[in-house]
Amino acid sequence: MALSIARIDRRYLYILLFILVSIPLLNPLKLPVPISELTTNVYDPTAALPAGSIVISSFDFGPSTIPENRPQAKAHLFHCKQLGLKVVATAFWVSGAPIGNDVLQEVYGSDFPNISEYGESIVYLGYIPGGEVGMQTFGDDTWQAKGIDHYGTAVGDLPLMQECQSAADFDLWAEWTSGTPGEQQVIQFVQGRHGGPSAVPIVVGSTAVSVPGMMPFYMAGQIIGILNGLAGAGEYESLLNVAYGYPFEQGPGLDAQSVAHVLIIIFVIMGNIGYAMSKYGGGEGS
Amino acid sequence: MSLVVKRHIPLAITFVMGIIMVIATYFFFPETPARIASTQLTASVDILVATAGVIGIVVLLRHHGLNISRRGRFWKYSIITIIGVVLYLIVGLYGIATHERHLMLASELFEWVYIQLYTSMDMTIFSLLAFFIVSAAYRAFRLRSLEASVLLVVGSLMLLGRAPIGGVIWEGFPTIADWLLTVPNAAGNRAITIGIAVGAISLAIRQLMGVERGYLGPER
Repeated sequence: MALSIARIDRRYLYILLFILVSIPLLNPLKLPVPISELTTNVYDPTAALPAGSIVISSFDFGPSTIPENRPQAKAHLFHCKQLGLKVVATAFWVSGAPIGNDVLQEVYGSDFPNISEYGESIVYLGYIPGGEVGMQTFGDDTWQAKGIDHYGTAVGDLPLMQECQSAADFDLWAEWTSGTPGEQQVIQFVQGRHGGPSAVPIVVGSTAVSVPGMMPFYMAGQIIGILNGLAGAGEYESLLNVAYGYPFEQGPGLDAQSVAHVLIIIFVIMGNIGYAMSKYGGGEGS
Repeated sequence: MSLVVKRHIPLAITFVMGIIMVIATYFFFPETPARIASTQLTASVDILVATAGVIGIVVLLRHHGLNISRRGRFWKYSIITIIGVVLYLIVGLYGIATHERHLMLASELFEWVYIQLYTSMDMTIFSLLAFFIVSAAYRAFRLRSLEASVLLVVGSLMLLGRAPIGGVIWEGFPTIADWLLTVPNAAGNRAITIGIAVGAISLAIRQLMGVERGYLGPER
């Protein structure tokens, strides 16, 4: 008995997880989403920016973390658009550049970049090579880092870029990341070289697994707010839903995540019961 | 190759470049000529990145080509790798040849292949992690020792605190999860981060002084 509990064939676990996660995806549970302080610390500073402020939105992630990073970036871009903020979007990951283009088309319309606002309130620079060195160049001399935008227009021909020539012009840096270069490199090579957190405030959207490593920077004020994985994206969508009627798309995903987390805890308890029985109860496994 | 070319010149380049960047960063304000010169120097990294990319493709093709010719381990996968590299290279070159605006731009076909094929495959592979995590949690999270017990309790609290259902079960779970994240976790991570930073500074000084030469390859 103890051995059977302790050694359930993993294929049964996989099937059970697949079935239980599928249910809320097909039929959402609509669980309430509590808003964490990490999320409000992204929302409130963004909302407090005066119209016309320049926000850097950096797509530094790859396809594997799209489920977490993409909705974060999309919701924040929508918020910036609603507030009349000017956005200079870019990517320091080559894999992030096509994703950035895709997200911008979703937020600004499928005709993007052939829209009237392009060049005035939104610019997409695309991929900037060099990793952290590229970030440093971008902060020191933005035009030097990328001479053309993602679509081939010289940055000097874009009116918004006349106002955005170095980190001194950035009012907020929104970093969507799942690795290196990411938020630590922005802190080190842009914020650290250009006046600290008050001069270049940073908000981050990250995979949940990376957030614990960011906490020292958050507690020190170098990062002012964090969207923590899928939950962070859902919380931000929830705030935008109340303010602007933005669609709450992450609800089913968060429900599935809740079910998966509870299932993991049940499996851990079962595994430990089997382990205890085999160790102390003189079962087959002892 | 002489010792001067293999050792002395690379060490001299490392020292000069390193010292220039240190002086420009710590002794000059932004917008000063020295700082602007250092920015132009870092911008030249693009050239190195592009060169490294070409070398990377050559090394990759050579490695997998040899593996196929020798019928080495998993040689059939090497065929798929080479086909993938060559096909995507053709798509990219086709985009450059037909694009009207700029040599550096990715064509729509190039981005379509990336979004529709690579993205889907990468997301699929990554999503398999969920199944492995469930299986691993079941088999590895055992109350074998005090440390393992602490890990298990903290892990369970974080699982409940970071998903909406935790707050539904008991409103204290998110509060506990936030406290774990911002106090014990931040303290531990801060210690690790400071340790890494001190180590990195020490390594940088050793490299500038020519004491640490591992990056130049084996000394023969």
